[in-house]
This record gives sequence, C-alpha cells and structure tokens, in this order.
Amino acid sequence: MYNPFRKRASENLPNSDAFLPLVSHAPVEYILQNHSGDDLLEKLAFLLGTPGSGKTTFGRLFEFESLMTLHHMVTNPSFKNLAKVLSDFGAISESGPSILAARLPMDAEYREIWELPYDESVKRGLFLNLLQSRCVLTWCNALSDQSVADNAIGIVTTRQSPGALGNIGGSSFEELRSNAVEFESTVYDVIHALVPRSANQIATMLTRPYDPLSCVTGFAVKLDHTDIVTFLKPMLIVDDAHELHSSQFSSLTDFLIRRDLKMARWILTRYDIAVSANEWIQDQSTEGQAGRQLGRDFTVLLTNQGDLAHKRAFRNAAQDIASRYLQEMPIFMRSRQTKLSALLADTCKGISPSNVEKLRGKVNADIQSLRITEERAGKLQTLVDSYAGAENEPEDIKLAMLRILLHRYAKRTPQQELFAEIIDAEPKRELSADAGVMSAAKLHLMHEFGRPYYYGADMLADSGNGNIEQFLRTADELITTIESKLIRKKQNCLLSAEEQHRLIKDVATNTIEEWDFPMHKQVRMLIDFIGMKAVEVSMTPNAYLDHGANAYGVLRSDFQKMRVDYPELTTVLHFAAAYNALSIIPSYHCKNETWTLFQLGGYPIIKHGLPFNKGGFVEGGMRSLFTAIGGAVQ
Amino acid sequence: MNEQLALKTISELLKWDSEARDEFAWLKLLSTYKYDAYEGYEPGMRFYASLIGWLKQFSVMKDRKTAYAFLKQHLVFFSRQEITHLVHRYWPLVQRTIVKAVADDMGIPTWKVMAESASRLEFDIQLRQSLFVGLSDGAKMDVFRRDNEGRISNEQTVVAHEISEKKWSSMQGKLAKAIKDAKWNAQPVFKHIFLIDDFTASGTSLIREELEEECGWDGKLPKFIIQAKDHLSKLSDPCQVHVHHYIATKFSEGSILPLAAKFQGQYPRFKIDPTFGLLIDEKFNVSPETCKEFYDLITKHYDPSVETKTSKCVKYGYKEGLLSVVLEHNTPNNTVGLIWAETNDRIEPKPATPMTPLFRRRTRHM
Repeated sequence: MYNPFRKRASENLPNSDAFLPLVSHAPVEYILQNHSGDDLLEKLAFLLGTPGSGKTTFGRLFEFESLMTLHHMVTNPSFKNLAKVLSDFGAISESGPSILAARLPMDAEYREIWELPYDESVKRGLFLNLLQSRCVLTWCNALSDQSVADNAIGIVTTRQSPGALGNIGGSSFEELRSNAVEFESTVYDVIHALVPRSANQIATMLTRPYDPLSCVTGFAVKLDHTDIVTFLKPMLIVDDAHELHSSQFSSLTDFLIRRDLKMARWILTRYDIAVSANEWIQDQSTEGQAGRQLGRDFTVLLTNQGDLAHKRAFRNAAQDIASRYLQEMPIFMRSRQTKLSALLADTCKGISPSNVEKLRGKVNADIQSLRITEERAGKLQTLVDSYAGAENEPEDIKLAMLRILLHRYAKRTPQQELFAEIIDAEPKRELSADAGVMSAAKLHLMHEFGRPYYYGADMLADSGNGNIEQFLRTADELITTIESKLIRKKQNCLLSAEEQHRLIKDVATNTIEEWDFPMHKQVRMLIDFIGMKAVEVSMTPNAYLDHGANAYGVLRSDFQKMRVDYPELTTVLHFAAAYNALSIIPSYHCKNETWTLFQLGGYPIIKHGLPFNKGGFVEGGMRSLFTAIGGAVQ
Repeated sequence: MNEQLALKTISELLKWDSEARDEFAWLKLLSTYKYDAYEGYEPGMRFYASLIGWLKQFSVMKDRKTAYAFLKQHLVFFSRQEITHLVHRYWPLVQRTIVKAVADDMGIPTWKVMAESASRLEFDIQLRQSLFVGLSDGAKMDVFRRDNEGRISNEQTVVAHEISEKKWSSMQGKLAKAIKDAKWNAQPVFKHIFLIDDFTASGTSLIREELEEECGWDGKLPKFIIQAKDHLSKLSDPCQVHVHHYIATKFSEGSILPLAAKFQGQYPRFKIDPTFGLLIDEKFNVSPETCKEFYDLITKHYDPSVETKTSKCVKYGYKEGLLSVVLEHNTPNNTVGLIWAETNDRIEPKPATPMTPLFRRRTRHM
C-alpha cells in the first residue's frame, strides 16, 4: 500500500507530476515573505535551514519543469495557491514561466575536486568549469524536455564582442551547448582519471577561458509551439552546498556574489559550519577581502525564523501537506478521510476517577500545609471555574490548576507562623487563572498521572519543530495506526488522545535512540541534561514559568567566549543544532539581561515531556553544559 | 487477493486490536520481501490467501495465535537471493581447497601458492582438472557457472550426477585439448570432483547404509562413486571428492561425516571431503524446548491420510526431522508436516483434522 509519508525527501519523487501535488504553498509563502522577486533574482541569495526543513523542495519548485506544470495547471484547485505564490513572486507570468533554473546538487563529484593534488587555483578552475558547464547543460535539457526546438531558442547576452562571447560561452544556443559539453567532458576526464594528470597537462586544459554565466542574461524562447516569445531569466540553484569543502564553499560564494552576473543565483545550504543562522550570516559578511554586506551584496532566506508567524505557517503547512498525502492513499480516499485534524482526537477524557480522587486529596493536603483559609481556597476555585469552565475543561485540569494557584498564593503572601491562627492575607500580586496556568496544569498531570499531553493536529504539527521531514516521520506513525483501523473497518477510526500521545512519545524516543550523526552520544548527554533541568523547573508546584521550560539559557557574554573557553562544547552544539536536537537563539532579552538560549528540538522536548511553547528557560552556565557532555572541569 | 481484504480477514481471524498496526507492517514487509515469492503456491495464490487458509484450519483461537507466533518467531524461510548468496560464497571455498591441495603436493605453505609462478601454474592446472557436478536442481549450477565465468569452463560443469559414458569421454577429451592448448605438462584426468547440492536435513539422500543394496550403500554419493569406478582412467589416483551443501542441519553433519569416512574406507581411491555453507543449529528445530506450544499443536493437529509409503508419519517431518525450514522453491519434507502437508479434499470419510498447508510442498516421491 502506497504511503507518501514515507517518501519524505523530495528527491524520491521522480517528476513534477508526482512532486507538485504533495507541495504545500504555506512554507513557500513563509520563506518568500518580505522578499520581492527583484531582491532575490538580482543578487546572490542564501536559503538556510536544518536537514529536512524543505530546502530542496523549495529549490525544485523553481525548476523549469515544475513551473511549466504549474503554468498549465493553474486553474486546478490543488495547484491554485502554489501557482499564486509563485506568480506573485514573479516566477510565472501569464505567458508561462519567467525563470529558467538549473538546480545542481553538490554531490560527491564536486567535493572530490577539492581532494585532487593540485593548487587551489587549479581546483577552483576545475570546480567552476564543471559547475558552469553543468548549469548550461541543465538549462538546455530543461528546454528540450519541454519539447522546445533549438531554433525556437535565442540567447540574450551582455554587450560584448561576438569573438569574446564565442570564447567564454557561446554566441548562439547551439554554441553555448556544444561548449558546455566540451568543458564538462574535459573536467570529467580530469576528475575521474585513474592517475591524476600532471599540473602541466591541467594548465593546458584550463588555458581557454570559460565563463558563460557572466555573458548569458536571458533566453528568448517560443513556448508550447506558439510564436509568442517569452523571456526567461537564467538562474542557478546550488543545492546542498554544505557538502562542499569550506574553502570550496568560499570560492563558490566569491564567484556567485559578483555584481557583473546578471542571472539569478541561489545557494541552498545548512548552516552546519556555524551554530546558528545569525552566526552563519555574520561569518559570510566578514569573508573575503572586500567584505560583504547583508542586503547590499547578498540576501538570506530562512526556512524557520523561529517566530510566531512561522509556527502558524507551519501548522497550516502541516495540515495542507498531510491532506495532500492522505489524498494519495487509496484507503483514505475511499473512506473520504483526508483531513488530518478529523482523524485525531483533540480532547482527552482525562485521568481515571481514582486518580482524580488522589489529586483532590493532594489539593486538600496543600491547603492544610500551606495554611490557606477555606474562604481563600474558594476564591481561587472560583477563578479556576470561571476560566476552565468556559473552556469546558474536565475536573482533573481544574484541580491541577487550583493546586498551582494555591502554591502561587502561598508564594505571594508573607510566611505564616506555625502555631498562630491562619491569616487570609491579600497576595502581593493579583492571581489569575489563564492559559499559562492551564498549560502548566496539563504538564503536571502528564508527569504525575500519565495524562496524555501530545495530541491533536496542532500539537502534531508543533512536534515537527518547523521541520517538515520530522513532522512527516511522526505523522507516519499515527497515519499507519489509523490505516490499520480503516483496514479493520473500525466504526471509529479517530485516534484517541492516549494513542496519539503514546505513539508520538515512542517515535521521539526511538528516533533519539537511533541517532548516529557525529558526536551523537555527547549531543544525547547534552539534551538529557537540559531536558532534566527543564522538567525540574517546569514541575515546581507554583509553575512559575507558566507553560514550562524547554531551553537552557546562559548569559550572552559567556556564550560569546565559548569558542575559546569550551571548544569541544562548540563542536557538540554545532552538530546538535545541525541535526535538530536543539536550536540556538543567540540574543534573548529577559530580566534586564541578554541571554543565549539553547532550545531543545521537537523530539528531545517530547522525550522529556516538555511544552513546545517558546521562551521558558532554565538559567545556567556554560561550565555545567560542558560537564554534562563529559568534559573535565579544570 | 486484495491486500486490504486479506489483512482485514487475518486481523479478524486473530482478533487483533491495537497490535494490528505493527502486525500489518510485519506482514506487508515479509510477504513482499520473502513469502509471496514461494514457488509452491497455486496460480493466482499468494502468501495472504495461504495464511488465511492455514489459520482457518484451527478452530480454537489459542491455536491460531500459537501458529501465527510460530510463523513470526520461529520459521526459517530461505529466499532465492539468500540461497544465491550461498552459491556466491562457495567459490572462495573451492579456491582454498585447490590451494591446499597444491600446497600439499608441492610441500609449500598455502600462502606461497598464489605468489609463486610454479605453484600458481599448478593451481591453474588443478582447477582445470576439477569437475563440478550438481546433485539436484537445487544446486543452482546455472548460477554457479555464471558466477565463475572466466575461472571454470562450461565443460567442467555437469547438472546431474548420473553421467553417461559419452559425456565422460567428451569431458575428458576437452580436458586433454585444454591441457594441450595451454602446453601444460599434465595428465588429462580429473583430480577434484565437487559434488554440489542445496540442502540436506538428515543426510540420507546423500549417503546411507542399505543392506538391500549389493554394495551395502545407497544415496547420491555412493551412486556417483560406484558409477565413477567404471571411469577410473579418467580420474587421478587418488581422486578428491568434495561434497558441498549450501545449507545443512547440524544433525546431517553429524550423520554424513562418519558415514563418508566409513564409505571411503571401502573405496580408498576416493578421498571424500564433506563441507557445508551454512549449518542450521538445532535450536531452530520444533521441540518442546524451543517452542512448546507449537510442538503441542503439531502433535494434536495431524491427519494420517497425508502419509505416503515413502514418507510414513510426517507429523514431526520426514524421519522426525522437526525442521522449521522453508526454501523458496520448495519445503523440505523434514520440516514439520503442519507447514506443508495437505489433506486430499476428495478423501472419504473426511478426516477429523484435515490439514491445510502454509507453504504447499511439491512432492517428488509419490
């Protein structure tokens, strides 16, 4: 039985007919927000994201085949929103695509050039010749794949002499292609030679200039066998650029940042080489002798900006993607169950009656031990009832909320004498029952009584932590269970809160167990340390952090010294961030200080039973983190 | 059979609830990866349909669960790829065997054989003086031959162990021509004979003492040797006979080794060397120690009408082999009967416990 949830990587989908129906417009719209086509198509743009955050999907969307399919299917309801986002961006016009993109994944072949025993300038020449020739050939293939005849293609070039044009790229489409074939074959011959060519041989091979990307400014093409000439802006999308050697990456950036290039050029990469997107941008800005300026010389797009808008966009995207995937699964189509939220229970029956009684006993015991008057407890109960009652929450939630308020009241009033009469003092700050208290109550009930916490479509989307691949992996577990219910023709195929919670916990725990990326053991130790600290703080009886904590905060000034003070910790954090174990928020203002937060990723949050809400953190120092990964304190 | 309907039926037969999710995943994986490829199914039939029929024969739920648990935890199914892998693994053993023979003949250590030109030449000669004989169609001589193209020639492989006079002469003639063409100083005689088979459970197909036979022996190995005695001029003295099974049970190893030694005592011209690619440990047998509930089930769920004169009682498998093994092309009769035995539905009166197979066996001996 076909299950697209297991495809995950867009590379596994063979063509645009299989690929586009599974693409949601929401993440594309989010990435492109605040950026115009002019901005992104005129200068070098980087798209940064963690593994599985949708970089390749984004790049593949701009390939000519995808744009042509979208142009032809623009009235199809499944593609309407996506086509609109791309039209607004300027990638599609009424007459067809406006961009001719070549997406080149930086596979091992490119990386191996840097391992050859030549000077860096020679390796750079080989690398750029291969990149440029492949780019040109990808353009040519993209057009011929759409049945555009060679005589229906004209190239628009910079104003250079025909002789120069012929030499550096080609003055006609045919010449451009034949030059590309020749240069690709030359480089291929060098990099795949069993015995490396001598430096002299290489020097002879590289004497002829080749720089087609600097001379081609566009293509004038007659599409769909009509006589209407469409102008296509050439574009190069360098995918998976993190696979390159760091100095190779710098060479690539130096080459593509040139202002004389009139084509669009994007680099899609993880920010592996830095611990955060901000630091990555800072590194790029200081690279090169002339210096580069964000905005002036290059633009940066992020798949996740860590803001509320992203959370909303991601929830929408997750729902949209899940619906598209479910429509591809015959069993769900036949039973007309293609809306994820309709398959997941969003309410929970709560803890057992005996546990409710146990909880009530704890509340009463707290009233006694905290020396709170019956009248005050009644007032707090009224606060809870008015809030939780409106939300229609069950008894266990109300009791847990009351318990938190009792402890908050005790903290906000002067300590009472043990043998004196109980005084009903007014609290220093007014108490209220709100979403924060309710969220804390649910968290407390999960840890104390095993009440389900991770359930409902929004919680499932949040578990992805902004990462589509992670969301799909978790969703797959739930969908497979629902599928088994549908096969058995169960009347009620709704997945209960208990089932969802159990499955989500299992997938998170198992995934963390299966980690095998570099330094995964230390990363596991790190997230376990942060997780345990966060649970400790979140479980304080008065829940002073409301929703709870899921991050560890150190003073920004300490963090800035990390590379010098704790180089091993820097490496561990680098891999933790690159593989979604945690994210680093470099500047977070709280209590009149600037903090750097290490916020746990989706699966570590679930493993330790923490909330997804951002902002709650445990204060600490770098040294504790260093000790947690097994580092010896000097 | 529609997969969705099949899974639903299986889940009803086993009364699955929340466990259905994981069981469906397991069934989908194993049916695709292995069981659907079983060659004993009737046309149009696949694993799911067979499993449904197999489970349905048990009227008690506990028995169905026991049978399914056995399938999941105990059954050993060798797929075609796995057997082919064992065929691939045989060449290194052949090479080591000849290297050792050369080293012994020349009185040098084995590591020198391929390093020095004289011994390397002797290796090439002895390899050409080798004959590879399939003892059954399971020997996969086609795979073995293609796998070793460039090492051995077509004239060195024979797919059946009963070789005609004409074939013997032809093979020797081609060996003589090869030696002459290569200008080797060697006799046109076969020095190594490799007898190859896929599987042995009891070892009796290969060799057994049989008083009714004139020579006192029966089985493929004695038959081959006795036949080869008529062609001694085509064989070296001594002639090494290497008998190899891709898969064998520990029990068969224990049976074959002493019998082969005893047989060799009577035919000293032949040096018999039994080898095994993969030995199946007795812990994979169906016994009260390994899987008691299934053992009890095979004891009580049995129809004697499935027996033949040759097989006799197959409740615990032929000769009480107690095996839990299925090969992709057929199920060995030493495997417990409940896996493969089938009651003839035209038999009258109807038996009390008719048997339906999970992996239907194609019988050679009627």
